[in-house]
Amino acid sequence: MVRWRVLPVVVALAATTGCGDGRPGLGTTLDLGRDEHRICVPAPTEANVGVTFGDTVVRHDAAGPVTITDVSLIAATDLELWEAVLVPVVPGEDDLVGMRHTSDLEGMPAGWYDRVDATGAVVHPDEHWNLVLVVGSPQEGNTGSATATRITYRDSHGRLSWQDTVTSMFVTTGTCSDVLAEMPG
Amino acid sequence: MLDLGRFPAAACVATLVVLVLSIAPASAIGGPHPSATGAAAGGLEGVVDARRVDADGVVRGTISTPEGRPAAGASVLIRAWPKLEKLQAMAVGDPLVLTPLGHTTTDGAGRFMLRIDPEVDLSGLWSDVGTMDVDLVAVQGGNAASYSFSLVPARSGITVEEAADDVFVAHVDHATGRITKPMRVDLTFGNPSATRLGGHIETVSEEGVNEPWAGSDDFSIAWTGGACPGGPGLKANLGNRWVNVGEIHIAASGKDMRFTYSGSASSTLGVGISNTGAFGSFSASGTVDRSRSNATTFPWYTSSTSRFLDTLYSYGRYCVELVGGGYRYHRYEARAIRHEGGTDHRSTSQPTASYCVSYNVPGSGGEKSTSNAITWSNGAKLGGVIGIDLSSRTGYRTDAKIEYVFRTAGRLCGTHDLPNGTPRRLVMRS
Repeated sequence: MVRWRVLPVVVALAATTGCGDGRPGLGTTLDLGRDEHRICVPAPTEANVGVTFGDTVVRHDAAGPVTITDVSLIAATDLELWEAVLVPVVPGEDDLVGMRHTSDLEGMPAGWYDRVDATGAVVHPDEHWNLVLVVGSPQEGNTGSATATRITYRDSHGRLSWQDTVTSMFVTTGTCSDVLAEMPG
Repeated sequence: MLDLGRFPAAACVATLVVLVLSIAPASAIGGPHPSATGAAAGGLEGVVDARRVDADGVVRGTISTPEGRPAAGASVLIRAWPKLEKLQAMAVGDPLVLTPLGHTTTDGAGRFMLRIDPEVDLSGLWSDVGTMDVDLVAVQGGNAASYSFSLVPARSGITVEEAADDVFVAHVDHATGRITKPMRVDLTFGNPSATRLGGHIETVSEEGVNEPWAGSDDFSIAWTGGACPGGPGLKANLGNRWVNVGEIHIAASGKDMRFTYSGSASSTLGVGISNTGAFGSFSASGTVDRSRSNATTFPWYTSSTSRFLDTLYSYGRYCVELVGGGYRYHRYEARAIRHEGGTDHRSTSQPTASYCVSYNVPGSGGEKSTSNAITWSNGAKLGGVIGIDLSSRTGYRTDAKIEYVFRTAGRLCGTHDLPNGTPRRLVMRS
């Protein structure tokens, strides 16, 4: 039970910090998709080559814009986030960037050349942005993973919220078939 | 319209009024079947009006007249089928007892909210996996309408939106006993095709034709006057029938895809109703939720193909009665009994899918849950035994999933949305 003398502090914190529990579709108006999705990509063999995970569309489903203040991996193991950008897309017309090695960016969608850094980007209602993460490779013999990506953002009223993506990411120096076969469920 | 059988219309109207308003023991009213007790055969005896019950609503909606006007003062009741494991143990000829859970009367706008009478002992009605089959029945004068659905355990982690979209079932939290997502059902007397459920619903035939959700276009389907021949019960086993539980689509070489129906996977399966039980007389009305009973593993598909994936469910034909005021009405229902396992597949056409994500690295892949599934209006193959195929739907509350591996670069595409959204069908493309 919350004591009365603590309550104002709780209210103040709730008003100025994280709102929502981060689960897709709950708590916030930032739409990052539905349903759990696990994606695995073989690690590049070359040094300093990253892996893109560009399967998520960011959309703000409410009045007013939001400003992204941070993008981070959740429960990352042997997986490092190098870069996060937003690419403008028209779903149904443009393919999403998807899963690639950064050494082979041939055939990127046209919007790639209009990409912006995700942190600091402003997302207006009804805009569709492809969130593209670039992550590094795990050490040889390992599989790097993250259970989701968290986007923290501030709305036009100054409130901070966060929302998690629905995608678990795996980058393996082995084979994805083995990684997927070992997953529970 | 309700078939009044051998009962005079005026007497029937009076009887139904008595049925739904008096809540009196059938034996006290008398009639042609004085040996029946209302509770045992599906009457309202002993059930408190939902408006006097302090509990969560389990189903709400509206009742309309055949002309489409609000049916004010109509009586609405909800009855439970036996615990699923008891249903599965029944032999042909065994009696069927439905348990009244609650009743109420519609307001001036035809609206109702049904709550389960807290005095009703539900402990013997829940299946081992926490589901319960129920029938919603509305009666007024010479009219009747009904709809079958299941109460299912609330799924942890499900979003409010997802729960609201799970339109074919009501959700119950067994830890708290609360109804976390009630059903919304709008019924029209004498017109099952006008049945509407709350939320967004779209069904698709296996031929790919979009169809509005509807119970039936056969206006004659209703209750028939008189008792079930031989009493209510299981009248026939309809055998094991193939039911569509998934589909896979590969549009290019070098792509592998597999559908898995395991874990807590379940399907929502259509119910057929008939006033005679004869072949060709059935129409669709309502659904029941059935969990898989054994592991059903479909193979990996490794070349360009589109397949419907089927497994076997057993079905039965039951006769059920509506009893009150000493009178009885009956009808037949064809419904799924249990998952029997087995796998089969059928070729289908490749759907158009233009919401795509690139997989440019050979060897990449993933797995996606299928919680936003398709309802196939003709996915349960009962045409050979009742004259029509019934609906099937896999998804929501399940572990059914699609696995895929791109041996060569390609794209994963949804037919209605991106794979991370609500794609409905996933296609592996070049």
